[in-house]
Amino acid sequence: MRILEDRNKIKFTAMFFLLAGSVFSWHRELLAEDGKNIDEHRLQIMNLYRQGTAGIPELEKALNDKSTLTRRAAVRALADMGEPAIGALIKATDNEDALVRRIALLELTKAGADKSTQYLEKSLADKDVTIREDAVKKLIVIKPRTEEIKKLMQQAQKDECMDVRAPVTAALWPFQKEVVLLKDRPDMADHTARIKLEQSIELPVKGWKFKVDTKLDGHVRQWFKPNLNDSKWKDISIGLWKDAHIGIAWQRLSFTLPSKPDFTAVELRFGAVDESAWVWINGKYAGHHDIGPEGYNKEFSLDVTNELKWGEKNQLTVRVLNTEVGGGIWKPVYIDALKFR
Amino acid sequence: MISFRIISTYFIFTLLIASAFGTEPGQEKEIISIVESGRTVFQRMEPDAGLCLSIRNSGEKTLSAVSARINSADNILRDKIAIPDISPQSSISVKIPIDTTLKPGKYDTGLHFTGMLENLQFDKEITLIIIIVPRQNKDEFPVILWSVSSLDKIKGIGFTHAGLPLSRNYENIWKKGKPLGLQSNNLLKKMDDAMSSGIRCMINMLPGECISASENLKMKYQRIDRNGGTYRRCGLCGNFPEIQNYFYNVGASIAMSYGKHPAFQAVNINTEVRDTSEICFHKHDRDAYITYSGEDFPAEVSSKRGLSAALKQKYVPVNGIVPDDNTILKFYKWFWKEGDAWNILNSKVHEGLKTSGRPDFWTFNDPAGRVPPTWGSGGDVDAISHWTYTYPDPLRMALAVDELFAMAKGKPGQKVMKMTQVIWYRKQTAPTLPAKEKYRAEWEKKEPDATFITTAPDHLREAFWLKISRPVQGIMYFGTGVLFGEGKSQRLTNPETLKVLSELLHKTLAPLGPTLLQVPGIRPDVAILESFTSSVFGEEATWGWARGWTGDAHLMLQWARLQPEVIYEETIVRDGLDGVKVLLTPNCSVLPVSVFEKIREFQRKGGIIVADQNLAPALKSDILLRKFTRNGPPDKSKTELQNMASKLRDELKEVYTPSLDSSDSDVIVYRRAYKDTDYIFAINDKRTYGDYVGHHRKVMEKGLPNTAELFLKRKNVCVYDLTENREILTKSTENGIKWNADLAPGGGRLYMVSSRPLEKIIIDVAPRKEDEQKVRISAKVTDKKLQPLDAVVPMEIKIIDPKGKEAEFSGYYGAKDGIQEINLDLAKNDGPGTWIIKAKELATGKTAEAAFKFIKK
Repeated sequence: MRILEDRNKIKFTAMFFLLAGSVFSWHRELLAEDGKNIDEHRLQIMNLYRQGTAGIPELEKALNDKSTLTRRAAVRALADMGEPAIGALIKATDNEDALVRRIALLELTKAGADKSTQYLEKSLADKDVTIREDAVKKLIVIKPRTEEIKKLMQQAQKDECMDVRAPVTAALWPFQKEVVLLKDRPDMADHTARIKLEQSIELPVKGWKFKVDTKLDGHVRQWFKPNLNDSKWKDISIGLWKDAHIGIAWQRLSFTLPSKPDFTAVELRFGAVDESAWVWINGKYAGHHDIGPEGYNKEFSLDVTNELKWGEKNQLTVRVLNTEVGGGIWKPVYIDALKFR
Repeated sequence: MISFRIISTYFIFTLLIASAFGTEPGQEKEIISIVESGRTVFQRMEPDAGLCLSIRNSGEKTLSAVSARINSADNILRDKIAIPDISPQSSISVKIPIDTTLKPGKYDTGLHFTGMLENLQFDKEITLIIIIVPRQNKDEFPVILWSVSSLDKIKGIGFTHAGLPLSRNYENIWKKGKPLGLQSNNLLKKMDDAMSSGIRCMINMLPGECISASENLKMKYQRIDRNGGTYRRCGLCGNFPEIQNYFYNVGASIAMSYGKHPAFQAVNINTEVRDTSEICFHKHDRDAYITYSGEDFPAEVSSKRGLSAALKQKYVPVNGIVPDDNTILKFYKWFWKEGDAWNILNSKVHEGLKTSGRPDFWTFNDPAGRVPPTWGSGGDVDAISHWTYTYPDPLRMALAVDELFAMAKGKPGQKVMKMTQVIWYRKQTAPTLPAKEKYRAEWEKKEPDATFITTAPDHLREAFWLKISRPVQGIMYFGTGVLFGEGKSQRLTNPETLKVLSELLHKTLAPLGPTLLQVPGIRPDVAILESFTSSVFGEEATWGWARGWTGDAHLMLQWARLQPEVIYEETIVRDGLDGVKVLLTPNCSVLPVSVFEKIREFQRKGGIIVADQNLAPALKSDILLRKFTRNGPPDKSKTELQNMASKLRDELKEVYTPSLDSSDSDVIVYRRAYKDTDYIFAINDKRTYGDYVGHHRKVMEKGLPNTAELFLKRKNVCVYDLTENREILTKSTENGIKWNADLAPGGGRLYMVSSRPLEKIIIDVAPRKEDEQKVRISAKVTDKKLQPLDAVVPMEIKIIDPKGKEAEFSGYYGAKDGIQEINLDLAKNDGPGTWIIKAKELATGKTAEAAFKFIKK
């Protein structure tokens, strides 16, 4: 209509459109190899599930279709068929497309599926993190936890990706506490400016006890108990890397708090622990800080509103994991009484 | 003849009878006082308008034969008023009718009182100013300032409404248990002032505050937990019948007291109450649920936010699909619609307010988004609204408003408004004052202890465009302190922001607003599901904060230029997913059977599911996007999300391309349509760290200019840039058209795409006798064949009286179906002569002119 009506510009315009065609190529409808519109072809593949087992060969062929979305549609249809399509699904576990592999592996590792453990192991070895994560999600709910399953879980604990490691570690860890700091509480959203630090008590640097957990079973032996006889543990001061260790070590401190101030919440704030820390107050698990080696110099807090005893003696235990140089509590520790005003 | 001494303020006229009764000078006894107890500003053609006076006779004799009459050239007071006799020591109220058919203006009016005290006559004229303001242009786009400042100032900026402070003490209404007239003179006067400045009024109503302020009432009426204890932040339990009646009564009392004032147009009901909502375990709450479901509260529920992840396994099968009548799901559906009672309480106040019967009065609830994704927040209010901060990404604004539209789907006809916080939390934008002065921004040197600072101007601009791109029916701003420097914790730290706001309101919203109000949204073919069921079972919901993975997924879609619709489970169940081609499902790990079946049907018909790794296992996605967690400064997050956007586009391109697109991921596009006319927004999100707060690396606050090529999958159409009133030259592509858009920092453009070219603007004045006061004008925007366009076309109309002054109804309009009609009611005091009508359409700037004559009878 009014599009560049000037005829003198037509030649230039034609050249421009040729160039522009490549820029706007995403607006063209792409065609499948046989000339069909890809979307139509994909729909045809998806509808093969209606044919039941008769559709399996065609679906299996479609697992290698040029179109990624068509391949995924094919594996979905195969997964919906279940048992009769197992063979094709097994082949799909080696597909180059991660989502095709994932859908196949999810189906093959369904609870009660034959050889599911074998495909969980295969999933854990997959290069795609989501597939490994899927495997961990399944592993941690399997009951009873056989040796084979435990072995796979331990393997997952060594995964390079925290998203895979974290849930399996959490699943194997017997202590749980959901820690929500005052500022992160949903009802405080956007009111954080009204949270005031009422009182901050720095814990002593000296008077700590220290013991390396060579058998990694301190938590089983309940080294966090308030009345544990730790007199034979090594006396240390925090704030230094003098007592560096690699592996798990435990640090304990007894301290007395003044009378109870006015607060909305109380948080135990560590300036930094090198690298990961699991914390108990008066024998009660208070939470952990475990973001891997990069956590060595990060400040963190744990809510201890209900664990502390004001005007009395308290006991703090910290289990520290260190995988590289240094290790331990090396920055001051505070008890912060916070008030919402 | 008796002599009077008049003590006259603007409001009060006190007539003193002095020496006639033998009192010494200086010891006059007040005998008769006349108090103006109502309004002096009226809207043209306002029905039943009158000047209210209270006359008190403090003497020992009856005041008789009292009358009041007008002494004004224009006869603004209609007739001589006979006033009943006033007994000794008593008062009467009189209302003297005002003639509001007169033309707008200020009327110096003499009010002449006469009367007799026995055989003594008094006779006095009082002068006062009565103002008649023009009627409001109904097409005007409401722009509300949450609170109030100098009226002239806020009018000058371009606000149309201001929030007036209202006493929140409704103790008497609670005690009497029925609607009561409230002390109203002061507020009515403020409304008068606002109306004479061209500002209309909104008030914030919080009836619950009055209950909470009383320790006894609070103890009785607050919510209780499962053990009968109180919550830390706890609001009223709204399921007490007397509380519900009280909320209605407060609404009705406000309506009774102020409802007739034309300036009083809106009420924000129960702001910020949802944060204090918790599951309440009174017997009547539990009984209400038993009535609803036949069951008591499930044993595991204790938090309004749903079950913890640990309890999820008990109720959710491995495939993530739960029956629609799942015990926990059923409870939370009830709780968020009825059980927490705030929807009911909002409706009660709304119902009370609506007893004023005013069609132009509306109620709203802001922030309505403090709920999980479900229909019905706000109750029966006319509009739902929600406030949002612009940081770290102004595009967040769009999610909050899209959520409101999803919420309002359950209540056809309910409108949506949107508010921007002009305040920025210092803690979240510029938390640590640089130790060395040389590293501080200018404002940090001047206001080092500011708690709240001014939103950066480019953020405000971008947020503005994002808001108006959606079919909202009003916008609002909060932050007089940071705009005008009138606060304590709020500090004016960026004067540029106010200039930008004023420019946007005057140059963009005033001319285009009337059009925008009439152009509906479209149903986009990309939707993002926010799952109520998943939120009940441990997945994060946005709660109106536009954060988290869902918030970022929505941002990502915008950067992918895939115009998203937020869709709720209820909408899917009711309407299906017809028309949707791509469905993104962040945090949708649990779905009810009904929704699962609709989505599966959608996918089997070719729909594309884009999901994160936590999608309910019964569904299998076509495209996987791993859940994104922010970890680092905002530029890093933006880059990561834009990369995700690019990957998504890449994966989709085999089967889906957007019908509206831009060549730059920083230029966001959005489409609305009226009939076959498209309205295309292009908004510039190109930003960097500036010298305002950029050195804190919390917000990229500085906008950058940008250029992009826009693409629309339509052919043989004309494109008009409504922001510059000009036609755009487009280039055709294989399946559509494209054109260039230059965008200012944070700026936007609005294009109108019409299938027929706009050729002419024509004004018709309907035939009439020259002395007729009613004049019907019609301005048309047409094609070559003089057929009006199937569009809403922005238009400016000026009505010039014979003295050359702009008359009532001059202003901006949105000519629906290409036609704008205006019905003038010339006043008896309008000057005779030739009136001129000028019209300009704002698509290309074409103008037309017409005239008519008016002679007096």
